[in-house]
Amino acid sequence: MSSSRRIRNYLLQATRGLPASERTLVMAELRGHLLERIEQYQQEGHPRTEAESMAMERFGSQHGLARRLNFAHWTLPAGWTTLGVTLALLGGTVWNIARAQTSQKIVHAGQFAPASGTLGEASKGLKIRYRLSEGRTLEQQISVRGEILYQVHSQTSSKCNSGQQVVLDFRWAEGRSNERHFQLAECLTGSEKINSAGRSLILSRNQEELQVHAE
Amino acid sequence: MDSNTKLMALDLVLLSVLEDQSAYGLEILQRIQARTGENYDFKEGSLYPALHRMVKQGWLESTWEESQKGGAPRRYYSLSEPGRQALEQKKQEWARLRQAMDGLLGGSI
Repeated sequence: MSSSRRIRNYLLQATRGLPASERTLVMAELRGHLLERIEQYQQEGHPRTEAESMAMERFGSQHGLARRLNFAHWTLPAGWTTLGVTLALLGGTVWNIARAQTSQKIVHAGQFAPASGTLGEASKGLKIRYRLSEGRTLEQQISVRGEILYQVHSQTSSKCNSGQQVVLDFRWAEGRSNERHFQLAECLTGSEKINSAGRSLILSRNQEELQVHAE
Repeated sequence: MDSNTKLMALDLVLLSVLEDQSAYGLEILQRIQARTGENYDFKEGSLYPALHRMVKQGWLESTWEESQKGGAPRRYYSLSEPGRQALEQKKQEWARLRQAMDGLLGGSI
């Protein structure tokens, strides 16, 4: 088995059962850790295959890890779920977006009309704030620089009772051929409202709210 | 050290090493090793379920940043305000436990 395939299989087993929306991120994080350890062992003089075995042994059983990760990811307040931060290099992909520059617009998701626009230039990052119905607030920040373009649309999802989920897709370019994106998604209930105001995009429904702000 | 004992203290250990400065996974492990003299070792993968749980609890915040070495982006963790409060509470709990155990065991160890 090739080196990269061996690592990939290990990571696939270690993250089995995680919400699809979060698995990509977790795999990226674990992979980064393993590769850094492998590099370290190679610098100490171990051959690549041996370095991989040592790194995976030190990391622990992929099956035990999968159980603990599933516990952490499935048993805690979900509220909104992250569909995936791929931070993938999309190399030159052209994202055709109508850059609606209106300062404020409201879209009712029941009849879901796609929306797109810009949050302006981010010098620090994207702040994502989830206000859950029980009043708790969760925050996450992504380090980002550049103009943030957003697109909101719905797509079919077998995981949702409604059969549809609303997707918030944020894109920015770091250099000419280095486009990156970040997505958030939640099952569509029909009561969603999208409110774009200045540097913020707010998705609200009932007593919950997801706010993404460019800083 | 017994693995159950280590797990019991894991939250306190992680919050402590992130108290002053954010860090990514491997960096967190290196700090733990440096500060415990390698007496607190565990399977490295165990770190991530704990970190992810604490993010969901609101104790930690995380940010993806480019690697300075040019590799894959890294997820950095830092303490949130509720995380600082949790750390203070856990420090007090640990101090009480240590006092109780010292009283119980006396000079027998």
